Amino acid sequence: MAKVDTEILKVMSGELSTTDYIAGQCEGKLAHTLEKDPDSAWIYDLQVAQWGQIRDAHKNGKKLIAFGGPMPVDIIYAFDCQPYYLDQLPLSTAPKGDMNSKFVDLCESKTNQSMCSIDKVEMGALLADQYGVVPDAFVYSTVPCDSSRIAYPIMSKMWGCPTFNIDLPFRRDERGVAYLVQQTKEFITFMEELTGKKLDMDKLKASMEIANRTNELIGKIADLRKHTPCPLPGMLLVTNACMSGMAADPAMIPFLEKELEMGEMMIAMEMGACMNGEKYRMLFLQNMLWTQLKAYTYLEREYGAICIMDVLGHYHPDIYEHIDNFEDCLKVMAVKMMNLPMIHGAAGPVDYYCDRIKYLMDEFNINASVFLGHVGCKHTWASTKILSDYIQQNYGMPTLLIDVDCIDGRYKTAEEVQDAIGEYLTTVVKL
Amino acid sequence: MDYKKLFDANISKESVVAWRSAGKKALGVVCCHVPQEILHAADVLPVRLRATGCEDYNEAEVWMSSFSCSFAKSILQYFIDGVYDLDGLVTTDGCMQAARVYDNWKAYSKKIGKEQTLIEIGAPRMNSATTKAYYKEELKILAGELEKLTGNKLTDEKLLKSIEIYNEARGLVKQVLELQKAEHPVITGAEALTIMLAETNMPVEEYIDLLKAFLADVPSRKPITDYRARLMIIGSALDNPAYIKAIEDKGGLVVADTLCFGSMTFGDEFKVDKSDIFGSIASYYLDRIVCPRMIDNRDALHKLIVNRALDYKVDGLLYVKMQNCECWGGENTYLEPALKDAGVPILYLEREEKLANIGQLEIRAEAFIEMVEKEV
Repeated sequence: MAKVDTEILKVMSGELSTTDYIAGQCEGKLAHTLEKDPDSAWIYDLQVAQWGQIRDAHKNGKKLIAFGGPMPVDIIYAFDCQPYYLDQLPLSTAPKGDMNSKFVDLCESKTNQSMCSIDKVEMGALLADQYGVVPDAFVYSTVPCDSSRIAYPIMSKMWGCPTFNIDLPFRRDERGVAYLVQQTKEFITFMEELTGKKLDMDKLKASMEIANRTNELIGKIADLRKHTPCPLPGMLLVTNACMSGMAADPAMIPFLEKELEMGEMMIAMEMGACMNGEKYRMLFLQNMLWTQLKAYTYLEREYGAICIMDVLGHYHPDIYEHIDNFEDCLKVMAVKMMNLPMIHGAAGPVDYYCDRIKYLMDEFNINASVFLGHVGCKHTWASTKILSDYIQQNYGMPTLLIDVDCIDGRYKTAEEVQDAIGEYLTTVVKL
Repeated sequence: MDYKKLFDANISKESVVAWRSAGKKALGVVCCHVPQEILHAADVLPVRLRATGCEDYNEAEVWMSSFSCSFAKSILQYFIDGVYDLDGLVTTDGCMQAARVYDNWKAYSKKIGKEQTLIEIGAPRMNSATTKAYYKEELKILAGELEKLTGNKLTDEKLLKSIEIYNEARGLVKQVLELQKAEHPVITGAEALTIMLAETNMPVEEYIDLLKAFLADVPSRKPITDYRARLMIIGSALDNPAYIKAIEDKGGLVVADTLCFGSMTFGDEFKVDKSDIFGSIASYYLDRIVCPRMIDNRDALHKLIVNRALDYKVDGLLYVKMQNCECWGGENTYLEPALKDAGVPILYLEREEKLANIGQLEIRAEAFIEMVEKEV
């Protein structure tokens, strides 16, 4: 008989907040792993730190800054505030189908069925008053998409806390950078007013140094994936999403060091993540399938098919080269915002998307292309022919298009996705 | 003067063909954040793209998938079908779907070897001194591109003249919209939308002449007395008067709207600061309220909708959203209570660009009209 997760039932009934639930789950898993498999505990250390910090921000005397889309997060850390990247909520709860369904349904009662379910969960949890934390400010940008641009202002009004917005340009050039630099300066003023403190340059430098270290590590980890066989499982690509909110969080460093160490060890032992041998090196053109992470393991085991990278999740490491030069650092922050996962490929002309695909196809020895398309991400769906034609013309590779809902597991089961990918690999892909 | 052209909703190639035959350029425009005055001043014919009557967009769906907005797909379909034979396209990054029209237009024209001038400008999604300054520079980039395309120098004088001409159109359109305030208006909602759409078929000067002729003839038009309820329409891009006609055939009379192809196309008078013309254009287009693509205009948009509903004494409001249009997807959260407070009932409808399920629309509209009509 299946074990009933009584804590989920409490969330469903409204007794338990999402933050308390997720933080509690992470702590429970860590305790269990420390007892049974202490070598794997590092995987949960990060999650415990992340959710504990959000839950306990006020207890720790920190202001909690909820944010969405690309924002200069390193500055939030420099003000001794705790950032809460809202996308972490739906991504963390996606495997817990019932919980996300509750928030999706609730949001749909107030908005729009076709809205992205990432935003539906974020807004639904607020409608249910189940965040369990109250932010001191909500800051967000005008991208990644039309869905967030609708959901965030509503949420901002519901929270009623101070808010600040950044308009992200589609231009990835000097004009675009200057535009973001100016807005970042205005954001600093906002943070100074919110906290009553001037920006401490030493703290900013400290936060940028941590971000430099984590960016360096995530770059090296990505490089490991170029190796054949790929030493790291597809499921670990979730790390990229953590970087969006935690690049300047000290807790990221030991996690990434451990992941890097594990990958290097696998290479040294001439081992790959596919236990029965690696055959297919897949590029997923869109996002991770957060609801069905077990599908990654299944494909690795049954087909020797590993997801080398998801294009929109790919984290582009950008380093502060001149940390004493404030203006230069602001420019790097601007570039970081433009290069954030999702934003780099999806929030602008499709040429950027193609450029990112080109980089990954050229560098990562890909032999299978899958557009695992989140249905809420309509503007990326609106570029599918351009992308698949691009890959066909330049790499002679057909692309499988599958519609999924990355956050609402009711849309498609893991088995359906696995079967579709499996059939594509065995019948269409020519090695 | 015969003003029949004002009442023809079909997309006409006549003006574009004549314009291009004279050796001049005609560019498609997606999104009302592309200031047409700038194109006009460069002697370019701006053709605001719409897809009225597009009943089959299968080929465009191959490019943009079934998960995209059908308005965007239909525009692409009309390009594929040759309904639009233009020198190129100007878009903004207004909403994500409009931006993808640009990408797919570019890819398709490349595929068929059709040379096109393609310009995308950034239209900020929030309103501040910083975003206005950025938008102003974007508009200057647009002006520069148009100069390159046409060889025409875009002078202050030309811009001021174009602004003056468009202001004249704005004033006349306002007079048309005022007609709908009457207890017994002389135009239906479907006719009002058709008049607004006509501007996309011709140079603005011709449009002005037709509007003047129509307004002069207003006293001879028969007032509409046999309606059961005064209605207002809000929501996504609606460029098909037949949709409104289906509602009006059931006894409603659409007297007001906030549609980007309807009353919002022109907006209020544009007051220009002659010392900063591009700055004035940037301010005008970012300040005016058109759709919820902006992240900081919601309260103002809701206020405008409620005030207009009261001003035009509507009995009910139709919130018509295009399927897969996110921008108009979330307004009900705060708009619904505001309208309820104002005593305005709402009917939510979802539509596709093609006139699908018209029977269902008629049934729902009739039930709503029955509900909101005033007992006499």
